[in-house]
Amino acid sequence: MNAEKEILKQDLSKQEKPEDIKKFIEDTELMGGHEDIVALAKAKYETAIEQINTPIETTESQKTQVENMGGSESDLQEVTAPIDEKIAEKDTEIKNVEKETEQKVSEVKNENKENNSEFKYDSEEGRKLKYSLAGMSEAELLKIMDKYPHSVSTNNENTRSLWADIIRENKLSPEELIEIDKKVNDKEGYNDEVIVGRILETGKLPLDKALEIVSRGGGPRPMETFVEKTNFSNMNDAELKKVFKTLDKVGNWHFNEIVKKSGRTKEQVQVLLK
Amino acid sequence: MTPQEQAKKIEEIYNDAIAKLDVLAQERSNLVKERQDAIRGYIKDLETKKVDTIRASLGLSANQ
Repeated sequence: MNAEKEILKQDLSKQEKPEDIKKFIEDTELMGGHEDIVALAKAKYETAIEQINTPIETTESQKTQVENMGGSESDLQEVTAPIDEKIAEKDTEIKNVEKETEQKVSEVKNENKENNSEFKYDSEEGRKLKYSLAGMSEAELLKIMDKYPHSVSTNNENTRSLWADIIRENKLSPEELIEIDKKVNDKEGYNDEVIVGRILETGKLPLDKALEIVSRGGGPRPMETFVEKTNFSNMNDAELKKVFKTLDKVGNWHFNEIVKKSGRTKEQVQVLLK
Repeated sequence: MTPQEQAKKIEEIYNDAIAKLDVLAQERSNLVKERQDAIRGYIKDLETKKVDTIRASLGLSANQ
């Protein structure tokens, strides 16, 4: 590969005209795998374009000639002014094309970046994030991924199943669970019932975070899981009050069950909530 | 969008820009030539005037 690159570099150094360099870029891109060479060729092409736009100036020798013939620089400027104006307009047009091009290229790059921000199995970044979140080795993670061979994004069933499986392994810390919730649910603007269910099932989340997830809604499962997996009997009055107040906002149809699990009487809870 | 599609799209954008820039560069080059011609023309006029002045001072007509 290095030898090929060396040859390409040598070939490139022979290209002088913009059209030749452009052709070289096209040919090299078709070959693939030579990004640095392509970048070099593009840079050279841009330089060639810049050279076309060399600054316009009246040479010193022309100025001397004018002075020797009894003319003046200001008279010379009057002669060139209308053309200078036209050249300035042309330069503006050129700059506009360059700006427009940069913007378009940037849009395409950003578009791709956004698409790729959803985790892909074949993305190194996505893979690292996944197994660092899951605390698994890559081999372990790939084993899970083998069950879901399709490319994934955060809004399809395969991803949800993948995350759910990773969470079910129960190797994640509360921070990692919160991170997954943030990546998968908040990002998409909804509460994914399956993943939220799995996260809450671990019973590892701090109370505030668990309540925040439940209060986002997303069907009956989050609240059911929360009620099922939470140890209310260990809670002090302030924590229990927080639970009831938060759940009331989203419709707490587990009131009696929570009271029972808390080891308090209804009367005690009613006093607590006053 | 796959990396290949992205590369293709960016390439199209560059190609489009290059085509536009080629035209503009040619137009600009013509203006630069026009400017140089204007300067040469101005110097030529000065030269002619100076020669005429010298001739006149020597009492020579333009045809002599």
